Amino acid sequence: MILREMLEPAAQAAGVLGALVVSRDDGLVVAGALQPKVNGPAVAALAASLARRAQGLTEVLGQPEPLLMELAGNEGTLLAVPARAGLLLVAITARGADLAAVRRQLLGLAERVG
Amino acid sequence: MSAGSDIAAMTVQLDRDPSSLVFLSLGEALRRKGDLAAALPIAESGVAWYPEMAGAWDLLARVRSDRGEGDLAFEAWTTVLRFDPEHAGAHKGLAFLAYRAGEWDRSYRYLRQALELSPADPGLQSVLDRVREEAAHHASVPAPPSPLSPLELRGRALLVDLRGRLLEGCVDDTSGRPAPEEAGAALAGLSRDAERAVRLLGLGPWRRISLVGDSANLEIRSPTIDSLLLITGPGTTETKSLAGEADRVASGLGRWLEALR
Repeated sequence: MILREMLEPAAQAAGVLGALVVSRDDGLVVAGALQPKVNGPAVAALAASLARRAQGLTEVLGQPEPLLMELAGNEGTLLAVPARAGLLLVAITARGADLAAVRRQLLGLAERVG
Repeated sequence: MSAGSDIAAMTVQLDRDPSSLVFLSLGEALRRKGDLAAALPIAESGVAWYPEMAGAWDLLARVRSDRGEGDLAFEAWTTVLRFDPEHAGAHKGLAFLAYRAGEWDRSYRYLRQALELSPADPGLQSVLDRVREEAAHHASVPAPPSPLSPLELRGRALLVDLRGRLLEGCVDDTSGRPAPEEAGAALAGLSRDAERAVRLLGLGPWRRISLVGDSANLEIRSPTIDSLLLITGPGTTETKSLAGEADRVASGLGRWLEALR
């Protein structure tokens, strides 16, 4: 199954604006299923940068990298889950999305990607 | 043209184009007229259309304040300052809320800031003088205890400024060694990236960063516009309960920091 098809269930969940597979090193989009209004490259770059920052924080506390990162704003949420092979799974949602469902989708996908 | 016909014309304009910036003038005209029931949905809709516009949040704050909803007005004006720290109107509004609550010292500090930002504002100096007199007549109260004092928060709650400098509390690393400076610096970097991400992706002001791990969960909040809170919990902690704890502590810290200032 190609990456884009694997992303479809997460991308089609209620309130999800897009789901992407991102290269962690350079923050580039590897695959994406996005609504037209979503700027995929911007989401990818910002999510990769945030994931590095999050890893930096857990490192200074002697903890392993987080399994999941969420940045929640008043209007929506950005979620990122590290996967194997230097990949990052990312979803961006609108306000009111079922975040528990999106988390489950991303964490499940991380087991299968890479 | 009368104020009434102005309002009618602006209402028609906004009906035709709900994204029109005329909501700013219309909401303010309705507020000045005292029609707060009509002004509120206009201001709320404006904030929904333009979640990063300081002026939209300022309008909402003024309407909330006129409705006597001090807490909601406070939230809206502090949101204004996140987008525009030099917004004199927000400092004046916060000064008014503090004055109304009998917090003379705090009101005076906001007013002094407003005057620095808007030195030509007519009447602001005389208001400042009056509030300073009020403040002098009221004995200052001792600072309340830090919300990070309770034993259960020792070693797992850290408050820093936006540059990562320690304000209160401490976090320990996994070996039990205090690591407030390192964590503060990392926290400040993460917060800068978070600000940039929400701005560029249109997510509105950030209110929560959650990091979920096998061995630890981390929750990050911004108790005031210029501070960051990190709370850690074991990985087995229900993320919801840690998030709830972080919200409660952040709320207490916001009040505590305001009281100290």
